[in-house]
Amino acid sequence: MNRTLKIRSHDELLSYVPHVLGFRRPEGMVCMPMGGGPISRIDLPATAREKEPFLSTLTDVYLRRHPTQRIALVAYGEDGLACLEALADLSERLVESSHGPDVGPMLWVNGDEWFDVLERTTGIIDPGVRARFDAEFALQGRVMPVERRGDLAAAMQGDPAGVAEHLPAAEDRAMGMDTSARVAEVAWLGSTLEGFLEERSFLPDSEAARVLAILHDSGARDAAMTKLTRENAKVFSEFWQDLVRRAPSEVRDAPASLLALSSYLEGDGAKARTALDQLSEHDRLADLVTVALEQAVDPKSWDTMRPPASGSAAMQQAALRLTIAQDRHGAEKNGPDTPGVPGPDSSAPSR
Amino acid sequence: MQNTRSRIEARLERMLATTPPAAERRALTSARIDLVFLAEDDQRRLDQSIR
Repeated sequence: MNRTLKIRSHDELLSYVPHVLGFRRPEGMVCMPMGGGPISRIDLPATAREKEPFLSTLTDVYLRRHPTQRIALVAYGEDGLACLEALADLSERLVESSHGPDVGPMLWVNGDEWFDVLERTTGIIDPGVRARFDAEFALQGRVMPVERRGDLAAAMQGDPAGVAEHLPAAEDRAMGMDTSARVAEVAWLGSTLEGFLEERSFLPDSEAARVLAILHDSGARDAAMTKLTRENAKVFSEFWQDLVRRAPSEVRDAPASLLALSSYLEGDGAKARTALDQLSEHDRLADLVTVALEQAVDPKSWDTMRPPASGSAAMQQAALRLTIAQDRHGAEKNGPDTPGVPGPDSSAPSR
Repeated sequence: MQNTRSRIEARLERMLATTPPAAERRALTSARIDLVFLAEDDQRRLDQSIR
């Protein structure tokens, strides 16, 4: 679709921001580079001690990692003094650098009111403009923003009762599988994900339990994510978020890690962080996603980092079998009721 | 040879290896930042949208 929204006014800029962030009432500083680079949101410093981390985090992104030519700064909050100070400090830090961007507009937004710090003008966000942006994004098939950032976490909480009913049987079944049955199960998982990419139909409880029972297997997670690209990451996120919502607590970490990865790859840092917050314990994948978020790594390079073609399908099958055999060996060694203990190079997530 | 490292983790590690660490910020208590990386089409649309 080639519809082009025009952002020519503060009303239009402020109506656009919620659709990018995923929530309507952001709090803190929103930085919107023009001409490339990530859009960011960060809490305002609550104390003098937090000021330097606030500034250095943003300058690391916009002066060092993703330099940009121009940047709009919008401080959201009721505390006008805190917002104006943060705007002044940040703009000063950005423009004092020899390779810093031009800064503007600089807005303080309190509810629906805005104040332009540079032009000394005020206004109220036009509900008509906001409705037009909502309609444009709806026409593009986008999910409407939630009200607040905290609502992202609420959307990851659901009722696990239905899946819990099927989980013991699914886990017994997974535990009793021999190598060839596991290979078949991993193949089933891969095809289930492919099916979701096409149909977008969520799994019935029994199949959701079956997926959760096999996810501790690193070979299964690899197979599940083989088709993951930056472009389809949003659909993967829908799949994993549904499982995070319905998973009983003891098997919730694995889908939460995978949701963090797919959210990061779709470019949604707030959702990725919220998914990481769901984990009872970080696994290696969660740690890596955390580093990617902290270092503001652009996810676009994911698609170019495809694993090298590893020869024949038979070789891939052999590698899969090896992974499964090793994971299984770990599980057996630790008994049927305890999770496998990862070796130095193992990636079995906590369960 | 023992090697059960997941391929998706290895792929992510390779991505991170190409990124310089945030040396300046690591010494400080880092602030949590939400970053949005627009898809290519969305970025192009945004670039065309701005006056």
